[in-house]
Amino acid sequence: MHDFGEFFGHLHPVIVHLPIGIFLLLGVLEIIGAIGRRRNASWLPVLSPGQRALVLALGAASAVASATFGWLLARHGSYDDAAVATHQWLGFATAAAAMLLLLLRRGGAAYGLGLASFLVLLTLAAHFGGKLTHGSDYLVSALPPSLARLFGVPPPPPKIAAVKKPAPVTFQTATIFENVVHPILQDRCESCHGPTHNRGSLRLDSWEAMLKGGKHGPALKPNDPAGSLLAQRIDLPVEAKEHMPPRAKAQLSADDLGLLDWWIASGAPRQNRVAALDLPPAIEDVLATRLGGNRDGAVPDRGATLQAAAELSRALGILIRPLTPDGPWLEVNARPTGKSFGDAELARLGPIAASIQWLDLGATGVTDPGLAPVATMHQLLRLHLDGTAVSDAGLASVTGLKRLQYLNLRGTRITDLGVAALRALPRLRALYLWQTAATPDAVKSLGDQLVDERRIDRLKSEQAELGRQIEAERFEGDIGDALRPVTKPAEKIAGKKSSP
Amino acid sequence: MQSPFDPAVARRHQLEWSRRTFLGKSAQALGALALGSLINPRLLATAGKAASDPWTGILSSPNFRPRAKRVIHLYMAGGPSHIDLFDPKTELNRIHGQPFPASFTNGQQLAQLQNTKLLARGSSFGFSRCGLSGQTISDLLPYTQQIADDICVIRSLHTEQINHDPAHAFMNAGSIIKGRPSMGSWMLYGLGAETENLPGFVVLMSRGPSGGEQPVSARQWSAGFLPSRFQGVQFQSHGLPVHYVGNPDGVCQSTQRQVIDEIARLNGFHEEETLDPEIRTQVAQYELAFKMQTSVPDLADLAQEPASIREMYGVKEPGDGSFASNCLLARRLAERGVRFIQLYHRGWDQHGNLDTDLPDVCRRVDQASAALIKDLKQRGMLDDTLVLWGGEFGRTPMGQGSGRDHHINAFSMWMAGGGIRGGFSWGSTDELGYRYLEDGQDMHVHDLHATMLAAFGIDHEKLIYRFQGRDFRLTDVHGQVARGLFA
Repeated sequence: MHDFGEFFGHLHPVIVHLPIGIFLLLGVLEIIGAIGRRRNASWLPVLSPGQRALVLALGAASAVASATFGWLLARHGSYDDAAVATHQWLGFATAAAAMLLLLLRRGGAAYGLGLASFLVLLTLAAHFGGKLTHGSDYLVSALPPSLARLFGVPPPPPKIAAVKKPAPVTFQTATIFENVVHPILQDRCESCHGPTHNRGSLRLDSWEAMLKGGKHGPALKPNDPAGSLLAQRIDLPVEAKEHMPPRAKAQLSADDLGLLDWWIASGAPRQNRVAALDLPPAIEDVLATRLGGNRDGAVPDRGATLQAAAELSRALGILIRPLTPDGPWLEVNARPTGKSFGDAELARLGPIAASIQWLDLGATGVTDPGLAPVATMHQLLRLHLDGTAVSDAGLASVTGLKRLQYLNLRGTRITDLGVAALRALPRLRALYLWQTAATPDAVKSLGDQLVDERRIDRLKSEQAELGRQIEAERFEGDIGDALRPVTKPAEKIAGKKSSP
Repeated sequence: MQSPFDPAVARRHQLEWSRRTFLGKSAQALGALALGSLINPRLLATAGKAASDPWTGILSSPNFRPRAKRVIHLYMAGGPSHIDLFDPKTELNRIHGQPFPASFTNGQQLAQLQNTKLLARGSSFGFSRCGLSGQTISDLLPYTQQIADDICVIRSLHTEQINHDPAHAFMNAGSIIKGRPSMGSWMLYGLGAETENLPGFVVLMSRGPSGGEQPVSARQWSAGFLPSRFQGVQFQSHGLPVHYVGNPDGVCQSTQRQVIDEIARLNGFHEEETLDPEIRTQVAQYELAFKMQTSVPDLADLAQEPASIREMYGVKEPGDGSFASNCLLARRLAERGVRFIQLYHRGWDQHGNLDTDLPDVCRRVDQASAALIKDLKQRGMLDDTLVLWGGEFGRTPMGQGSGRDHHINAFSMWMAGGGIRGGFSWGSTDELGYRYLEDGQDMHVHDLHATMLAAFGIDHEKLIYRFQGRDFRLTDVHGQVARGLFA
């Protein structure tokens, strides 16, 4: 059967305004009536006993209904029990007092005193109810400071921005939970799951509290975004009842979502400095915008970079495109110009060197000594040198590129010596050595050294997932070797790199 | 550089129009005004730039980080059978020859099987688990089985059009209405190409020996309402890709240059007079044709390719019009900076003789498709080249004599490279391969387009062209990016 308790509970916030209105109006009418009687002013309206009895009866009935619905709401809603208790008992008291008042309706001093104290009780009950819905500092938060002092209200806690001001965090100094993750939760979650409220017994204002979770279990499972309630609830369609934040509240941005997902997937780090973490480029872009600067210091100015890029593109006949909608990061492609692009032309890229993330020098005329400017391109993620005259000596300009993920050396004069030097590239994921003198052994040994643990874990879990899917399919075929878990993931990674 | 959106440019043209209108062309005034309102101000734009300057795309920066730089679309025209190639169905094999459950087909659109008795038709072909990932691929495609770990098989694709030509149009332009730009044209409009020496959108065509295949109309690579410089250019598969690129006797390149420059100058006058944006296209085409006089012979010189590479693709004779030869040419086009390369192979329309004709067409296509992936990979090009392999729809799990009919509720396609994760499949179909499952991985053609644009850093909701007072997109008002496909 349908739970009508919850349905009526949801009517509480509507019904509750009836007794407030009725009794306040009654108070006003009684005062006017009293004045009229004392001054003998017949033009002022005076309540007849019958009218008073009717208004009191209506008021009492609505007060009892409000209290009952309120009780139903407290049973079904996710409210903090301690905060509800005060309001609840005041509400019950108000309902009882309303009925008592009905008995005193004959008038006289007892009735007047009774009505006055009843209105105080009603105001208190209503105030605590308001605090429950809007937060405890809702009423006073907008008071002008002078009035606040007059009423003895403690000054409001300084806003988040004001706290940050004394020591502005930068990309280098920021810690991941305090300066990146916590501010998101503070803005979007803590008004209901924080120090003032903990709906569903859940607080999201500290790492420990998230791990502890609420009545539905832990909100955070490090390394498991899909299993973390925090991410699950946020990822639900906004129309869904369980979606968080509730539909009417401000929602998290796509960047927020990406950050949280990445944060949970990378083990929900706490004290780690942002600059020391392994950040995917998309995450790094977002963090660079939020924190200002990136791991190498200040981010170049987009406008100036794009202007310099446009001039260089025209002067050198090369293609330059921005890689992101608002960062200064560039893709520079000199391949279409061929051999007419040489060392002198590469040296002219100086003004935009700090912004280049993809650089295609394939089939150009660059040489080993001419590669020196590449060493200053600390942001490089992808580098094509295929089909150039580059040899092992030229790689000295490449091995300092700590962020390089993709290196294409196909058809160059690289040998095993050069391949061995590439172990200095901590983030290298893809290396192409076809049509060079490099041997498979050298590539394999480099692959073994470059394997990073997290990647292996990911491969393993992908394998396991595939295994599960196939079982679920009940495919009646010879599964054979293919499905065995990868026992030597290192080989798979080495195998992914092209061998000569 | 003068911005293509500079309102000053549009204003100047408007002023000139009104002056002319008043000063003596009153007879033409009505037509002139009509034309003026048809002209998209964005295109007037390029005034201040020479008409022959390369087009670098309407998007000055991407909407998010791009992964891919070019597309090679291996278009299997006719509708390959997903049931026999990528989507094995044990249950369908079990009920082979029995009536197809009416609960699946009631009230559904059918092509040629309407009002016939529907019988289930299992697959006659075996499947294997391949690679480390264990992807299931038909034994009809032994070479594709070798690249299982590089490809993502989409099993939940579905379309809205059940006949070849409209279905091609839907796959290419996201609409069956004539005059809508194809996806290659949209890409070229948005991003430009990375070469000035070849068209940015090239189409190649091959087919089987029978000659009975469905034709593919040139409207499939049309630029629609976009300026025609963005339309696909079909190259010949036999011999030299473009006819008559050589100079006649007595004409040298420098004479040719002078001729082109003079024609461009005269066209410039004409353009100022008429303000027809298509004149710009014509000037650009003259320039491109001049450059192709040298770039095309170099492109087509497959003798530059070592024998081992030609063997890998299975090219018997370069330029013989085969799919293999086209694949090799496609790689050479990709290397030269062409943005969108579409290879149609006709011959997948097995209404009958499926058990003999399907293996035949697979043999013609399988080796070269896989070789293209391997070749791109060894060159380090697969990271930024998005390869699509598939047709305009699939084929029914119900038999049609000795074959299968057209089917739009589910079909398979594979994607590789360009940031797409390999070695897994996306989406699934019901136990008979009849309909895609709504499991969050279902993929409509609009979703495919949105995902493809996303690989290039383009938000499909932001690549817009205003035509006749309405904003148009490749995905119209639909499309959802399948983020799970990306590594």
